[in-house]
Amino acid sequence: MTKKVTVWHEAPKALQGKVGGNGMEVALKEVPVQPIGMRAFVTFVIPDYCSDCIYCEGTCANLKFNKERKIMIVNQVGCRGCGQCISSCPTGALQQRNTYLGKIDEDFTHLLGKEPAAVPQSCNMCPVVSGEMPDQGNGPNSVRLLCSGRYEASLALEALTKGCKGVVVVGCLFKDFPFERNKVATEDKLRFSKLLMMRLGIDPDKVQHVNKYVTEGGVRECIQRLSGA
Amino acid sequence: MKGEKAPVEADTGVDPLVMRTNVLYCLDCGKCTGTCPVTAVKPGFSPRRLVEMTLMAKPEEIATNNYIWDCLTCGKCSNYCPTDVRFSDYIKGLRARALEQGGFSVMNHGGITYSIARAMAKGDLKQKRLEWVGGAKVTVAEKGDVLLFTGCMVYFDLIFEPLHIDGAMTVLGNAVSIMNRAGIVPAVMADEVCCGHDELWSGEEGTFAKLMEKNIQAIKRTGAKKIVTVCPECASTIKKYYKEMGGLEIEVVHISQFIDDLLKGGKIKLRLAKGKVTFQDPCRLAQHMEEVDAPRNVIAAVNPGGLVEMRDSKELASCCGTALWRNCDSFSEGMRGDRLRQAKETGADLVITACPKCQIHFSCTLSGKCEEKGIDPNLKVKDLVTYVAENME
Repeated sequence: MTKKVTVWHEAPKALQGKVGGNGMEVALKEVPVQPIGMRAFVTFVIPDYCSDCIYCEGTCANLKFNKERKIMIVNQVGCRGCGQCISSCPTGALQQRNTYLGKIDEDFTHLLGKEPAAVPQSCNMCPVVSGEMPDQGNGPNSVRLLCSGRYEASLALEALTKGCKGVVVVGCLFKDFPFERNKVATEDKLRFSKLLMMRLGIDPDKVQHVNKYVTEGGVRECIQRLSGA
Repeated sequence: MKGEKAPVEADTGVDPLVMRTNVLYCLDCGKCTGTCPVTAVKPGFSPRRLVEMTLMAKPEEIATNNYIWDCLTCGKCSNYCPTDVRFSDYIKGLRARALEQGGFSVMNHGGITYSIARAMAKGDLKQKRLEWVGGAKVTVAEKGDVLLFTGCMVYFDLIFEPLHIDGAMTVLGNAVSIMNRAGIVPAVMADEVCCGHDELWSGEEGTFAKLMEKNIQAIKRTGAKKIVTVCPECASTIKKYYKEMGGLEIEVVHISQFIDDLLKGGKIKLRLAKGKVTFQDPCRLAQHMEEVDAPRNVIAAVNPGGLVEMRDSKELASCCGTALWRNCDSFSEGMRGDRLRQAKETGADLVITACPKCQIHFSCTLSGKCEEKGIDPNLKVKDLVTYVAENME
């Protein structure tokens, strides 16, 4: 079943005025989408920031460099929002609805008021979290990224710097991963963040990756272990 | 940069930032716009128009003004200003205000460098930042007269692994091996934190103050009388702002100046190199520290007659195009492309830089699609320190 909805309702306040004419056009384009799910994370380009490096083109078939307009064009019908292109973008020109930097910052500020022990990072539809703790999976007590491949060391560092005791990265089972490429990316990024934290002198075990069957559990214990409860 | 002596701050009711940076003296002559490397590639950006725009602007207008984040703060404009307007400092102040008002600018690389600096400023971390010493087989000490400030190289190793840049082990190891050859055992600090340059110039003054506090205490513990840095950004920050804001009275030199002194004293013997090379002036060294001769003397000692200057060189040289891990976009890519095309025009096949960040930025551009932009992908980028160390007897 498909339905026509506006993908981008309004530019986030932090990005208002940053998105140029072309970007707005791309972002506001109405596309046939499924009403819920991955569509919430569709990617768009801020042309002002695009440096034509085409690093992102190698990560996904839905990205093409438009030579006439000299910007990357995201095929928003095909984009499922896995976020690999965003991670590959050195300049920050690619952004994703719901996970742009300002939003994540807001999330952390929100969490700080509640003094969280650990921040689970998972997507809206996470089978692991929602199965185990239905109240938390979509609730405000987590930073939602579509895919664990979109996890970044900077997010974990920010969370730890802002007072969280740990970060739990929750993602799909590797044998049932919807985005093939992101399997490698997830492992790569977790490895990078552990190396970075070791060099910084932060205990690398403060970032935990949980991708098990719901029945096996793990998220709740992980949060309890990290918060020292 | 000009303007070493601070202007008198009288209580005139004028905004102290405006008074401090002489912005009211702007004649609207446009010399800044004529020399600005950003204006050359980015339509709409002009220092003098930006001054006009922001002088009477309300705070919330400053927060939404995108142009204040486009400035590279390279300081080229200040060198040409007839009335000594300190535009870079003015932009620095504006950015701090913009951040207070909820201003926002997209950071490159997902903001990882800023996250690292904030983590360092917040916590009392036990960093493992001296791993390169073992790999490079050099001698360092905990205390000593000469202190080598290592900077962020050890973290760039991890972040920019795919670019295959000369990392901490190469650049820092070579710097120490040059010093060792001259009979100097430099001190290095295990509890050093980021110098705070990026935070200072992007307006995060709170983070900068914390980082500075930690560094000054660590520097005092080593008992150093001279600080040597491999990065011009660290050098200019420690030299000027640690002194102004933290009261640190120690001589600070960039490694190119240090090697120049060693060579003049005949402490290092060199094997002469061949081939044509060209030199990219880093903005913090050429404009902020006004040092253009030392690196050239060093190159001339290694490779007499081999240095060919680019069309824009010394004080006229433009920045590599990205500062503070912030302004990378198609325009800064254009600046780098222009710079690399100039390098090719000289006939050189090696671009020597004196700044790790320039090296990273050029390597990034060279790893992309070069042919379309008219850049020779066979150009090599090398740090000055590595160039000297490779040709040492």
